[in-house]
Amino acid sequence: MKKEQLLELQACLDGERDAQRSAEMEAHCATDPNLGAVREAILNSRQLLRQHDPDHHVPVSREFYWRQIERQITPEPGNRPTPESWIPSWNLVLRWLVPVGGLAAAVALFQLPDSPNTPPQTAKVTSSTQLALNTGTAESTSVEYRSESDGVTIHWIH
Amino acid sequence: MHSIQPPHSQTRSGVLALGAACLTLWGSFHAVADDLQVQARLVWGTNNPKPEGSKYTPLDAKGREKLRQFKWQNYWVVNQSVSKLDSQKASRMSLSEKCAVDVKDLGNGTAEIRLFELKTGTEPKLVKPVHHSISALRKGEYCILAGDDKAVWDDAWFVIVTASEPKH
Repeated sequence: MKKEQLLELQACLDGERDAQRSAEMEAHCATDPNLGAVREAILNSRQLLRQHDPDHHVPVSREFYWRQIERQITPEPGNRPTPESWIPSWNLVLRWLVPVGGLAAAVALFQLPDSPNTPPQTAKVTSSTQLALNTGTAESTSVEYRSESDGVTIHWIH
Repeated sequence: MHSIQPPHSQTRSGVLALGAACLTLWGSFHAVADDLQVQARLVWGTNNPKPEGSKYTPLDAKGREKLRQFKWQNYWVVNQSVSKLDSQKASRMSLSEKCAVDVKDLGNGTAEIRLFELKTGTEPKLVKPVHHSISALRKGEYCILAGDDKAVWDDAWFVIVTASEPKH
């Protein structure tokens, strides 16, 4: 069987040829056992896919669903990477000096003993830890949908 | 005999007047912000009818319009609460035995809305904090937190936060 013949058969089965050409192909399939077998195989595959292809049900409309995917794919304008600009040599020094200095200050802060007059920071630390733990859990992740025209912002929490 | 004010005195008066005007504007802005009442409604999205004996009420038409993206036929208001938007402390609104929200004016034009899961014997668990523009709330915008109902398959819950009397 030629490749062109197979492609023509597929085109007829997909409805891409007119009725006359399709009828000719049907007649050809009836006389050619090989072509007829391929035709049956294609039709069976199509039927199986239609019957067993799983449906994906979502609790929202089609527009809402695809909009979320679009928002996840398309970066926001503010988050787009900007091209690297030319940096003077002293800027390079500052670029390293600032984080290293900050790190050193943080280390020094933790190393120093607490002054007896320092107010306890337990509540503050507990609060921020609680927040971090909760936002880090899987159930607190959410997808945001906002429509200014509809005047609504929806946070769908998973 | 006319007294002529020196130039620096006029400048001082102008600064004082400007300061007074700023204080007045600032005070009036905060007075308006303090007056904002926020309403939180716990809504159940389902295809089931209202349970017998329940006091659930159907969600109003405007609320349904905001939720038109969703598939459910019925949206039952389980509970609702109104609280003042305060910049000093978060106002807690308990919506059910398992759910509460609190709102707070952050002072930068946004309100923080935090959703909590309540469990007896334990501290409320922060589920999700979100920030929302106060001016948008004033204009009638809806801030909705939602998720799947863990108890009933294929149903959902919604916590709808709005200004107490949204402008239509």
